[in-house]
Amino acid sequence: MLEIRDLHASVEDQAILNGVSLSVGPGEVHAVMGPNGSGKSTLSYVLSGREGYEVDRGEVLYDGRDLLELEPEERAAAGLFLAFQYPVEIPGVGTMTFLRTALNALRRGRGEDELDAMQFLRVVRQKARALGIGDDMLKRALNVGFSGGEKKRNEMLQLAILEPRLAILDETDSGLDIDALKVVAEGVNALRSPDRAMLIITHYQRLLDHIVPDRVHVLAKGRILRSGGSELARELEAKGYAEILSEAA
Amino acid sequence: MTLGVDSYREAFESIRASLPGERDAAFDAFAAKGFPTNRVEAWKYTSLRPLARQRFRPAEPDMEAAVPLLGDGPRIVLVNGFLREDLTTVPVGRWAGPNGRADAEEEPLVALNAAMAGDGYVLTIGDAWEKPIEIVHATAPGRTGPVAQSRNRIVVGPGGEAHVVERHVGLGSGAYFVNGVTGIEVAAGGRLRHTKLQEEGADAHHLWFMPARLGPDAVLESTVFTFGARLSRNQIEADILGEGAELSLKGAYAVAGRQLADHTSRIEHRAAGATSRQVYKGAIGGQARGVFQGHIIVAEGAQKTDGHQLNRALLLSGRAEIDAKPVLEIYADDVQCSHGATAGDIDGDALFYLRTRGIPADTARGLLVRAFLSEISEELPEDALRRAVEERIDAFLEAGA
Repeated sequence: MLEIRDLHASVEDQAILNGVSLSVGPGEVHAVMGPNGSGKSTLSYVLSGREGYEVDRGEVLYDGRDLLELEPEERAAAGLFLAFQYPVEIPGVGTMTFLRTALNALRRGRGEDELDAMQFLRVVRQKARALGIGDDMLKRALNVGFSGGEKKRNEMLQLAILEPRLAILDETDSGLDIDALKVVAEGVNALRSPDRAMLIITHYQRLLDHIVPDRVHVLAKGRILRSGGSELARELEAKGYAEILSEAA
Repeated sequence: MTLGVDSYREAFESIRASLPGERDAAFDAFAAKGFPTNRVEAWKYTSLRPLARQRFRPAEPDMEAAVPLLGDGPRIVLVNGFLREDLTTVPVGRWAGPNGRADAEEEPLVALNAAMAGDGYVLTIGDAWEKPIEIVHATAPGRTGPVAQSRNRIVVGPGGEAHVVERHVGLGSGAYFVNGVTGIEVAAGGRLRHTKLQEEGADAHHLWFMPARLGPDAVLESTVFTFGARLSRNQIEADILGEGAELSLKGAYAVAGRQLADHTSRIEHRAAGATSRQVYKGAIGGQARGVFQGHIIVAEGAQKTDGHQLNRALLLSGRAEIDAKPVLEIYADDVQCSHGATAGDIDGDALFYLRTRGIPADTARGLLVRAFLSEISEELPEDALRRAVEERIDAFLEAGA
């Protein structure tokens, strides 16, 4: 489903990714772990099409299509979703208006009918309840005045409503206390399905206690140094990154 | 050389005999200075030279024209600067001409208005009005471009409270020039919410002056929405004369093409313990220009004054421009005053976030422009009025600004 081949990328002429290769199949959950500054967020931004992230070499295929050629909204229409590490606060744009505009844009793209206000409200209420999101949060401007945990839950709500085929979760566990972490993990697990893949980007192993990945990759200095099963995450937690980095050096 | 005097002298003389009151002093006050040039500090950014060179005939009453209304509440209707009694449902007085003190007019265009205005309403608010009062200033361009000048007054007495909505519309396409005045007086304890919706025609020039006076504990909230006219200026000069008065001036504008929207204010705190707030926000596309001049004066003795102003502009194209000039002039030592101005492009992080959710770039930009202007429009208490403003913003976005 997602095929990253020898990806080199830079920001402001500084090389950040130095040859990342990664293959994620349908239904698979992969974790990309790495220390700060290893290029984790750069990888997520390159995949979602952020301006200022230059691809210098390599390719990314999504269902056999060249993903890097597409605009961010076209990637979303093709089923890609990025849960942001730092969701953006947008004063003046209501959370509900935003969710409905996004869902209907995707539905139009898929050739489905748009939802009217009542149908939409039912969908949102049901999915919000499962994530412990109350009406008061939905009434506010998008992410404005939300706590760190509320912002992350709002990202998970979008994930649940937009139903992407490939979800990239960038440091979704940061800023969450243990209870919120469980709620978010349950939400993510509920979305696991044979035709939905996930790429979970994280510094710590704790989220992976709740969302058990099929594969774990260690990203450092812009390259994947090791790949393994879910046991690799626990090994990292026990030994830290230093040992793996030195083994690979 | 004074700008524009000769053609207006001719126009003035052609109608002088039909005008009530003594007019010569007012015209002389205009003729002494003529149209302000860019050398006049207050008109540095807005050039009236092309306007002054255009010839307009004095507008005449039009008792036939149909006038679009926003609501079915109490209303006052003027066409071409003349009151339409048949369409007006609120008891109003009429302006009877200048009272001979016209030489005191500092602004030559206000003097020109005093010389040539043929009519104008005087609205007195003595008690609390439940429904908003809609005032329509409509101008019909006709075959020859008219200059419409009316001189209006809103007087809010003690205990008076109302929301007055002044709308400026063009009836049909074509060039015309509106040079109007609405004077506002809010007496001790009176409250006035004043909303102005400027939707003049695309080839119009619109200059409107609002001298305002606030008594003790008076409250005046005036909000202007500027969408129409080739060139427009909304100029407010507010004197805060009573302790504890509250003045709020807000504005939102969306202009594109070669439009120019000028919002100029001058607030003079002459009494202690009063507050003034100003927030102006504009979305500027194409080769359009925004001008904001905000001048706060705190006179000696006006202690505990609390005066703030903020101007924010969203530049939607590389050729859009904003000129902002905030001035604080403070002669008291125990005051809190501030000003701020920002100008910038649409927030790239916000745009990217929306696009990653599948929202196309144009739609996302539209959401962000609406959000930017909504800080001003969402405070409108009447649904119909808020919708009218939102429709104008939608039309602005659909036109591809």
